[in-house]
Amino acid sequence: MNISVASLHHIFIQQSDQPLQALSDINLEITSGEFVALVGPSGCGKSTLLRILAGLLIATRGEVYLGGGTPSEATTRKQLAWMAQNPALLPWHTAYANVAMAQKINPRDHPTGAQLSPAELLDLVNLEEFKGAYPFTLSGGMQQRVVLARTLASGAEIWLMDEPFTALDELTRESLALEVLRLWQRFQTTVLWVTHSIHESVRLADRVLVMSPRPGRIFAQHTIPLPRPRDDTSAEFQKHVRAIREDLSQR
Amino acid sequence: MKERFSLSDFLLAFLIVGPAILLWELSVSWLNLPVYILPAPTQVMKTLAANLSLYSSASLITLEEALAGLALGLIAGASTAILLGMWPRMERGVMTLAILVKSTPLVAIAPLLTIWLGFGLFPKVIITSLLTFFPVLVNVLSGLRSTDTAILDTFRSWNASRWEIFLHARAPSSLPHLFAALKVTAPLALIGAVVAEWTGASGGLGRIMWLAYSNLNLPFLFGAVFVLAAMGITLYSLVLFIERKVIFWEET
Repeated sequence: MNISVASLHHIFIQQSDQPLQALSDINLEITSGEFVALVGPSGCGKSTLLRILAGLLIATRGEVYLGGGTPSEATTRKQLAWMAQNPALLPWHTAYANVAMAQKINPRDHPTGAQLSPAELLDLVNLEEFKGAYPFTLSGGMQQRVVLARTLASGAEIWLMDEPFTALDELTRESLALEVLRLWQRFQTTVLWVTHSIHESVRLADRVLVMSPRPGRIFAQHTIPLPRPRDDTSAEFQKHVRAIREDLSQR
Repeated sequence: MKERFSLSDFLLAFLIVGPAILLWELSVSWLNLPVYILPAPTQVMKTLAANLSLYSSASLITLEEALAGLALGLIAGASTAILLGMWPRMERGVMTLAILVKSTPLVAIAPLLTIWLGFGLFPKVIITSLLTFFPVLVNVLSGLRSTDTAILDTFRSWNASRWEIFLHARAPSSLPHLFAALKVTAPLALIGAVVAEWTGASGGLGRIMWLAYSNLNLPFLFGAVFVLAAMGITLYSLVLFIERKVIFWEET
């Protein structure tokens, strides 16, 4: 399922200050099954763009299409999944029940994992032994694994990920990112991954979009043709990291 | 999970309450206070023991009124909160009415209700429910609104209906607030029942108090106060106990 954004602008009207131009002339084409990373410093509007795509925010101007429909249409068809730092699990339900909830609301038959059972999905994210565990008994990394299983269960074909693992320690963050990569390859979803880590973006994505702040816009993009799994010590890997870093430092 | 009621908690409670009662006992004997001014705790206990069946049947009546009123206030308060949660536009109107009810002095309505509805159970239940309605309404409403926005976003991304969001997200999130309200209203319900009985009743602890007061029989009056206090503590502990069973996912 592809994502298409044309001349998107977003302005926040604040009561006290000047209107803030958060996004300026964003144009974006993401093909179905692509893994795209969005890098930029804090406050460059990455999250705003993602929230607009997710239909959580209405853009001031511009066109947004996900699989040919508006964000709200895509939501109606349950095609979008949103993942952020806050796992947003239901604390009164077990891991199993949390995953099952994504299938229970608007059940939808779809290849993305919606036809697998919650138990199978939890197996898939290596939580075999924690199906009956409540979120508060799980570590932050395990909670995000439950969220991954839940995302699969929802059947969404587009995953919008807003720095989902930033609150976790580096080792956990890395292993979870690879987990996302593995699931993306298996289920062939479309991923838009927001991050402020250049290294992470080169490690994961087919294509890296670089954003600059005030007003937030995409001013460069890099295709990363390296085969996976990627060796982050290789010269080519470092070359891409350097190129993106140079882009960002010039702004 | 965290440690619950421990022995040291009981010990601490005893260490606070024990000396207070001892001081009361000692000051009555030291100051030679006559019994119609202040009876000693031991004398109150003696009166209690001598009239055990009288007190227990009276407490049952009061307890029945309090619990029925509490249940009614709880149902009315929670349903109003749910209604306002679903249709926020009604809030201003309904809250104005609720505050009006809340700020009407109960001592003014209680005798009226007795005149209208008689000396039985019914007017006491009404008074008690009026008293417990408001704290339940306010707490449950803020509970329904306290739902984690990230959870709400997740449900919206599934295109969940308002009813599904209420059932699976808002209602469970409001449970801790409901219990906070219950901790306040459970002892309050007893007060409501007693105040209602005071204005005219065929039985209950309030009636015992009123009779004792008219005869200046202070040991008898304090006996009822003691029973009431014990009932209040028991009800509160019961709410606490249920809360810890139901809301297992939160520290309390």
